[in-house]
Amino acid sequence: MTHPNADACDEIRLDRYLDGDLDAGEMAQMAAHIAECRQCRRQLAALTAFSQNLRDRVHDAANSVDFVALEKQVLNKALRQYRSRGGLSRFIASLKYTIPATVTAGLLLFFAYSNYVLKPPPVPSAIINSFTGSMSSVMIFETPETRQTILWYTEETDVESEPNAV
Amino acid sequence: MSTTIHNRIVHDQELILRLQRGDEWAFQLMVRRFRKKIFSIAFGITLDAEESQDIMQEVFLQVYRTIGDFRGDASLATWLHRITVNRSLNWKRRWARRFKWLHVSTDSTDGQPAVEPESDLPSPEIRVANAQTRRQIDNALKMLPDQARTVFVLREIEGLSYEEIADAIGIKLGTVRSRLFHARKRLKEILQPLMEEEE
Repeated sequence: MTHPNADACDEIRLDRYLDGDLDAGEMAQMAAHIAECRQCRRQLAALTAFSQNLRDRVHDAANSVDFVALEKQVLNKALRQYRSRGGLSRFIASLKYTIPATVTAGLLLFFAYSNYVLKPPPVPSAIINSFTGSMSSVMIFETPETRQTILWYTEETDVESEPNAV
Repeated sequence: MSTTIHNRIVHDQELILRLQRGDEWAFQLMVRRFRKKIFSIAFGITLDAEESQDIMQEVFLQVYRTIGDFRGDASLATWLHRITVNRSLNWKRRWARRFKWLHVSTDSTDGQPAVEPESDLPSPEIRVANAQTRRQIDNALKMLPDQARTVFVLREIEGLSYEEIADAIGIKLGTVRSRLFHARKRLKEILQPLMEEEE
């Protein structure tokens, strides 16, 4: 490919020449121009030298780094992250069983408390207004806390008398 | 890309799968494979060796945390380049460090006193010249805008192609060309007095 101003200085083409971003024809044309043009030659030399010095600078800086020690540090930090993440996930997994167990225990406690602790004061279970029939040996008991009444008597009409409790 | 470990060649695809499964040695392999590249990019952008080491560690830890989300739209290297560039630019954007970055004495380069390391070149003149060259490089790079410098560093230090740079930064190919052109144009202006001195 030919360029309309092949002999003129072209910074963009010089840039692409540096990066090898021209086709073969353009590269040859640019090389011919640079051979003739002192200004482009100087710019090219300055940029090339700068890039080389920069690479040397980075290379020197990298050589002064203890990468082995850094690698160990990174691995240790990553393992700590992994363990802390593992601990958290185990905790979350344990909640799967802990939460239902806690809810069940809570419900049991609630019913136990409401049934046995907060039970209203007992009232008589029955009031006897009349009493008929032939009985003997009547005994009346009342339980001390629940105040349930128990009647104990002997019914005379039956041949086999046996004690009945109400 | 592939690397040998335990007498076996491990390609990026397998490495990613193993990383996603949480293999410890796969993580170690990735660190070993990319540590110098990541440091170099971070150093090219920050010009601070100590910070670049921190950035390198942060990049690997971020990869370790988020490898499960990696869908493979880009290569592992491109993903690492992207994270490194973002972290390096974020570092620079922090005001306090930006202040340090812009105003640190020209006698020091990366927070260290400007003492030349032991060299095979005994001549003090050469060592002074080396120190001057380093300062010139640092000062010239610091004068480039962030975006242009990032593209320039990826191109010149890592030798990435225009396409790879576009993928790593998430910009169009034309924008890569344009930023690279402006970086070099600015560098030529900065280096002009030096070129005249040499004549």
